[in-house]
Amino acid sequence: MRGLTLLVVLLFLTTLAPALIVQDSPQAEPDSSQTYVWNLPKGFPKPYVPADNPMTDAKVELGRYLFYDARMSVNGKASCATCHKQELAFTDGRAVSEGATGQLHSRSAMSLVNVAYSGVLTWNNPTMKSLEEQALVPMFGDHPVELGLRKGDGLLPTLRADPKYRALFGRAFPDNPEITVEHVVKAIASFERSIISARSPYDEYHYGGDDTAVSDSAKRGEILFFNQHLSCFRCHGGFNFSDATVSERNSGREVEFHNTGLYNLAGTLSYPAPNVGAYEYTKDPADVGKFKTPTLRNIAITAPYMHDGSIPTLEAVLEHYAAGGRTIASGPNAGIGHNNPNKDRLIAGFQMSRQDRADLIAFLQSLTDEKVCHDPRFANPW
Amino acid sequence: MPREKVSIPDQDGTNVEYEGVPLRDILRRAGAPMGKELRGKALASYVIAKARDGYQVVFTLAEMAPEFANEPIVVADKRDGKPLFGYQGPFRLVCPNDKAGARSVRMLQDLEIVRLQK
Repeated sequence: MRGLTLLVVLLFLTTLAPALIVQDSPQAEPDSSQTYVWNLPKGFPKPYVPADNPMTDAKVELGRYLFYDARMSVNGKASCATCHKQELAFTDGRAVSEGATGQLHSRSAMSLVNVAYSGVLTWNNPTMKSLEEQALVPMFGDHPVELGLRKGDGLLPTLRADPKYRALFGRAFPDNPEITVEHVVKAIASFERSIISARSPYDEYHYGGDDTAVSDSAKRGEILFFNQHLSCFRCHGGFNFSDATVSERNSGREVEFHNTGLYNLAGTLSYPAPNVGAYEYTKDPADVGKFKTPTLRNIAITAPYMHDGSIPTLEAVLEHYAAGGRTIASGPNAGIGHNNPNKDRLIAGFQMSRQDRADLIAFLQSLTDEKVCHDPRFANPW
Repeated sequence: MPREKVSIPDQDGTNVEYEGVPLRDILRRAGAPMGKELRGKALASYVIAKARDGYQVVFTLAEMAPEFANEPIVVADKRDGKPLFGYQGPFRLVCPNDKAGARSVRMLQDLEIVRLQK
């Protein structure tokens, strides 16, 4: 092979793109209770919605009441909102969540923002793809106990005795207003799907064309984020900053799970039990330590981080990725995560100056959507 | 130079229209062998597309040539009518027939034509 013969150099342009948020369906139908208008900005596809549970305003509204109702727990001490607080982008600010009876979950509560776009649910279950099905886990699961309900207990009679719920179920399911577990989870799933975050400063900049919406530091951070050396975008890509994203048009997309080198214990299970990743379900040793890529939207207000809440700050998360894995020097979890045999090849480490780190943090902070955290449509109706 | 528009599905499933100049026209303007010249040893030529962050991918000249694969690869500077900016721009490649997006180089900075000779 011998030399190059021609070289074309492209000149830089410095123009910035003005753009307008285009409403997906700007006009609501007159009878809104049996329809639903997403009002999505450009760049946000319609979420996948299962055919047997179409979105309606009435179902979303019922789901909101149920989501915030402590009667949904065994002892009246917890609701979905206990671990999914609106002001924290529907997380709970804890490393691991605490159920109604005080039992600790082994993992950190995931944000419900944009969960409608999530191809799989929870941190590590490749088969859990239905919000309706997933809602049953915190309600009735006992490993760990979250809401602590049991089938046949007093939940349904309690709901049926409440005239408020009789009216809400009547509107949500006009053809069959019976108060059943199936209807409960369909309504909760509908409410969860309605929690869309698309109004962060980054969105105003990137999709809305407002050049002043984010700082110069955030703009530099965005370019670093999408830089091949850091390769953050390869897992946290797309409008939802997650490769686990699906929509109406690509609902069947296969979701990948990733081992980021957080741990490297000796033996087959290189991650501390019970948080062994997708292996818990697949039993394939290659899946040990592999978890779903969470969205980065609102990430600045959802500390602590990782599936087990084991990294307290965004700065420390960046250090973890820059090092290409976490080294734990002593204790039961001691090990060099960088050498985990299942670690994703993209977690190779990178150089990062103090300015780079500050810019990346500024970019991540620009993804905080204060509006979704205070939108009355998603707030406690009680 | 004549401009073209290509519409491709974005990562999120929505269709996006990119606008720019066909890569083959830029290469032809730069003196790359095209048409009747693209034969024999010239067919062992390729293009390295380089991004500002060092990312590189390769195309053969025959991929672009109308007599061969005639791929409608575009050097785009607009997305949905707006100039590319930030991590996308100011120029990027758009390869409408590639199933994966990895050759649609963002932040395109250089196009280098290499002729292989045995």
